Formats: sequence, C-alpha cells, structure tokens
Amino acid sequence: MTKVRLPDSPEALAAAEAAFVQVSVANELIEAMTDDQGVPAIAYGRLYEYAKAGDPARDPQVTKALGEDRSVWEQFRAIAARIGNFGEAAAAAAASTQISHRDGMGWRIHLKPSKAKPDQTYLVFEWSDLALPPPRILYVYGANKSVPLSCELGEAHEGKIQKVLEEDSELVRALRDPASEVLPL
Amino acid sequence: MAEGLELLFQAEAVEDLANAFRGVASIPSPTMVDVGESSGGLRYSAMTMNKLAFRIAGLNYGDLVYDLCRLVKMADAFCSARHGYLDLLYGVGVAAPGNFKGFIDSALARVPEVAIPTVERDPNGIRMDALGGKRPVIAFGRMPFLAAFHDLLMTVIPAETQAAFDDLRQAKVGDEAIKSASNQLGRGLHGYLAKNMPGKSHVKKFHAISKALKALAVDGEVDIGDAVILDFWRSHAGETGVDFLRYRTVLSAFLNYVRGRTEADERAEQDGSDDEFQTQESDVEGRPEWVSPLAPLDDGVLGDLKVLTANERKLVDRLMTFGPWAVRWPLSIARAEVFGQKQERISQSRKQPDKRQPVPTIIADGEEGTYHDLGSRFVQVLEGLPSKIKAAAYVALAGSNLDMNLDAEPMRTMAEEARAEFNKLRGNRASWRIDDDALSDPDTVEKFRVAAAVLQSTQEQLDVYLAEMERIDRGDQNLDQWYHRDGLIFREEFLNLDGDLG
Repeated sequence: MTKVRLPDSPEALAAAEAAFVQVSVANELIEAMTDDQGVPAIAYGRLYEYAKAGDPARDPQVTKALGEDRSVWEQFRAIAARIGNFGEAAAAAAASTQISHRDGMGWRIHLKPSKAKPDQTYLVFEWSDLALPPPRILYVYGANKSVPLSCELGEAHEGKIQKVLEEDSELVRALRDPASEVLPL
Repeated sequence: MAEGLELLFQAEAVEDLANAFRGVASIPSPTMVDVGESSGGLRYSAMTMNKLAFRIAGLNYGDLVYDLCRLVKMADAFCSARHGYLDLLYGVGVAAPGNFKGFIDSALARVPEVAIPTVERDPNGIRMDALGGKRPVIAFGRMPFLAAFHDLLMTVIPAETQAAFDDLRQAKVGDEAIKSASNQLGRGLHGYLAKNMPGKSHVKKFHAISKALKALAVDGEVDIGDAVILDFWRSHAGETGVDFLRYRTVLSAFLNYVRGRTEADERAEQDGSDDEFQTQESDVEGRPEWVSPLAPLDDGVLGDLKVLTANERKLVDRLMTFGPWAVRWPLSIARAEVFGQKQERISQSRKQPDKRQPVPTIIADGEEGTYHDLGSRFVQVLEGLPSKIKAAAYVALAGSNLDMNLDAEPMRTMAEEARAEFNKLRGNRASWRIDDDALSDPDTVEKFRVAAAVLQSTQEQLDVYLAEMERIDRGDQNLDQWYHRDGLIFREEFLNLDGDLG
C-alpha cells in the first residue's frame, strides 16, 4: 500500500503531470535499451571506433549499415575525415582510364606493378610533412557509395610506407578507378 | 500541462529517440585504447544511460549542454590541435571516471603549464580558469555522463552539434562563447524532442489515473494498493483512446504515477535554488533514481561470467525493476507475472490464427502456475544465491587490496567456506572457470565484486518480497484463494476484451 497526496492546485497538477510523463518516457527509453525491438541507431561513438579500427570484421553491424544506409555512410565519411591527419578524402585527377597514382593534401600514392610477380602490385604511400604521424589505415570510397574498402598500411620507413597487394583485389581495382576517393587515416 | 512543455509532449512515437538510446547504449567498449579502469562490454554503463534517459525525458538538460561545452573548450587546451575534445571523449576507452582522470592527468603533464591558462586542475576534476572560478569544477564522475550526452547529440542532431562545437572551438575562450554554443545545442535538441518526445499517450494516462484516484481520495490523500490497481484495470482496459488494455501496462503506469509524485514533490522543494546552468559538483550525477540492481548485467561488465540463468533473470526482472514498490504491491506483481503472462499469450494467440487457443483454455492451463508456484520459483532462485554470493565475494575479497587478515578467525573459516563454494562453481560451471593466476587480475576482481553486489541485491529483494507473500498467505485469504479469485476475475475480463477466440 502506498499513500499519495493528490495535487491540490493547477500548478501542482501540471508539475505532477510533467513528472509522470518524464518517468514514463524515461522508462520507455530504458526498456528500449535492453529489449530486442526496433533498430538501434548507429551511434556516433560506434562509427568513430569503427573508423579508427579500419577492420570491417570488428563490427559487422556497422559494416552492414554502411552498405545500406546513406546517412550512416555520409556520417562515417565526415568522422573519418575529422579524426585523420590528412584532411578530406581525395578524388583522383580527371582521367578516363585506370590510374597509377593518387594525390591528396600532402600525400601521394603510387601503384607499381611487381616485376617479379605480375599478379602483385606495390602500393607506395609518401607524405610531405614528416612531423605528422604516419597513417595506419587507407580508406577507399567507391563511386557506388558501398561499404568503404580499407587496408592497414603497416610500418613506415624513411617517410614511405610500402605494401604488397594482389593486382586483381577489390582494393587495387578501386584505387585505380578514377571515380573513387581515398583517405589516409 | 506547464506552458512550454505542451508542444514537446505532442509526439506519439518514441521510435527514433528510443533507437538513438539503443544505439548509444550498445556502443561496444573500445579495447584499442584503455588507460586503466576495468573494461566491460560496453562504452557506457547502464547507470549512466538510465540517468541520461531521465534527464532527456524530463527536458532537464540545460546544465548538461553548458558543461559539455565547457569541457569541449577546456579539452582544446590539452588535447591535440587537430582533434581537440575528440581525443578526450574517445581516447579514454571505457567511459569511466578513473579513465577520464588518467587521461587528463597524463595530458596535462605533457603540456607546459603556460600553454594551458584556461584549465585549472582540482582533486575531483577540472575547472575553466578563464571564467574566473565562477563555475564549479566538472567532476571526473560527471564526464562519462557528458560523453554519453555528446554521443546522443551527435546521433540525433549531428549537423547542429558539429556546427556548435566547430564554432566554439574557433571562438575566444570565455563564458560568452560557451553560452552561445549551449544555446545553439539546446535549441537543436529542443527542436528534435518536439518531434520525437512521446508524451501524448502518457498525458492521457496521467489524467485517467488522476481522475480515478480523486474519486477515492479522503482529505486529498489516497492509499494505492493492489485492489486499486486491479479495479482500475478492470474499469479502463476496454477504453479507447488510451492504452490500458494490458494489466502489466496499468501496473507500470501506477508505478510511474507514484514515482512521478515523489519527483514532483522533490522538485517543488528545490524550487528557487536552480539557476539556468546549475552544475553538479558531486561524483554522482544528480539525485539517484531507482535503477534495477540487475542493470550491471546489461553493461557487459561481467563479461562471460553468468550469475543468473536467462530464466532466472526473466523471473526476477520485474521484481528488481519495481524495487521498493514491489513489496507495497505484492499481489500486483504476482498478478502481472501469472495473469499478465497469460494475457501476453492470448495476445500472441490472436496474432497466430493457426495456433489460436480459447481464452478459458489459456486461463485454465497450468503453464504460468499459481501464486504459490511463483513463490516456489522465486525460492528456487533464492536458494541458489548464497553459494554464488560466497564464491563471488571470495574472489573479490581475496584479490582486493583491503587490509583484512583472512588468516584470523572468524574470517578464516568464512574464507575457506567461500573458497570451497568458488571451487565447486568453478568445477561445475564453464563461465566460472578461472585459473588461479587470473584471480588477482584487477579486471577479474572487479567483475566478481560487481557480481557479488548484484547477487546480494537480488537476495535481499527476493527475501523481502517472499516475506510479504508469506504474510498474505497467512491472512484472511491464503495465496491459493487469492489465485482462484483472481482467476475468475481475469477470465471474465479477458473474455470481455478478447472474446472466446475458440
């Protein structure tokens, strides 16, 4: 049994009503956090961690959302540009055929086919301001706005990062596509 | 309805806001950067998210917006020039007070003092010097809450939030810039909530309950007991325009009513003490609301450690969510568990014509059991708790730095018993299987400390509830009589509401 004093003025009634709504809405939100209804929004912090990790397998839900939801894709792009040291994603210079180098703000990528193994390509990343820490991840945004491709860049030596990629990999195809955009992070 | 709030309570749907909360609450804890405190499964604790839900639902976020802006501006002084406050908000790993403290201490130590004239360190947090000490310290304990608020803002109004923080970072240090950004964010959030705050249906519920209680009041007061709640459901379940169809909904609405009354009374007492941007100095964010002691089970803090089975959790969940109110309305809880569950089945049956069962069959079958059976199920959970509590406490105590002599009696015998319980559980349950080497690991110790607290609270709640049920059983009508009487009432109401379905 609980004894309750009822509101005794219009002001008290309004305050009681507002408090009831507050408690009710708060409980709805609290229940929502643990129930299995609805579709959780992809929160900013989750995209932030995803962008920093550069590993699609780490959070498959985000990967799925990036492929399906344009607004998530746009927000991811904005976050990645903000947390990196090399500005916005860079488009390629106008070209009608496949390209072998990409330039951005203070950085350049060369794609050099391996002479020894024709099915492989060297990705060479160079950046001009060596005071900046080397990027860890490379994101490639395809023209179709699908899930951004990513690769870990590995260690830098004397202002260069070199990585071997399969020539027919999705990543190399995307890097050679003049319609794609590239962001080192 | 108070002027100004009216517009905000017109929206019908909670979906977008609820999904945003789901999203923020489910951000996994980053493991890449962890500077100290034990990392659970999620970035924000259930306690942090629950309190944020109360603030947003109460449209009470003026001080949060202001403090978040202060923190953002201060972080600029000791975070990297390019990323600023994001280094702080996301550089701490799990959003825990100790992690914010660790991050800020090490960041301030790296930056020469002359470069940070805007930030003043305090044992409990940081303060913005440029405001002349007018504004209180932002405590480390408040920072996880502000970080979660930032995530929510960036999720529901990303463009407005980003613009406000970009402007703030470029502005000269001072209260004017902070207030301007606060106002910008406050307006943005207000606009969002005007479209997404699901108040309208709750307003109708409030007035229906108020009207019913007024009719029962003597000298402006009313005793709300099990009978009042049942009678209210019987007379309002069939109404259109307000959703009181489910018994469980009515019980929750009465809980919200009494909690709202307490909230409103306390708010009235505080009236006059608030200023526009009142801030909290304590490590605890605001006045504690009742939060289910089971909340840590949703944080991921326990990792793989299972302290309750899924069935046990489901069984005690409502009891724990109702907390102190469960013992005031013991029969209502039993009705919700037994007949509320039957009502759910009737509702499911309506949706699946091929599996449709007549209401009398659902009422009569023994699937949910009687009130006595419910009590027995609670007792079964209760009986399994002491050994788990001892085992969890053993790990928590043995690995803690407390100055406690476990070799002296009576602690020695107790510790031995507890160790034996732990070894038994370790042998029988996969999730309790932990190597001796891991027992002194701080994360493991913390995990078991939380587990012991959850189990202890569950035991206490079950104890008082079962005592109340026993009291009823010894009364004019025993529990079986209550169950049969209620069965007739619910059968009649379900038939009225749903037809026979046969």
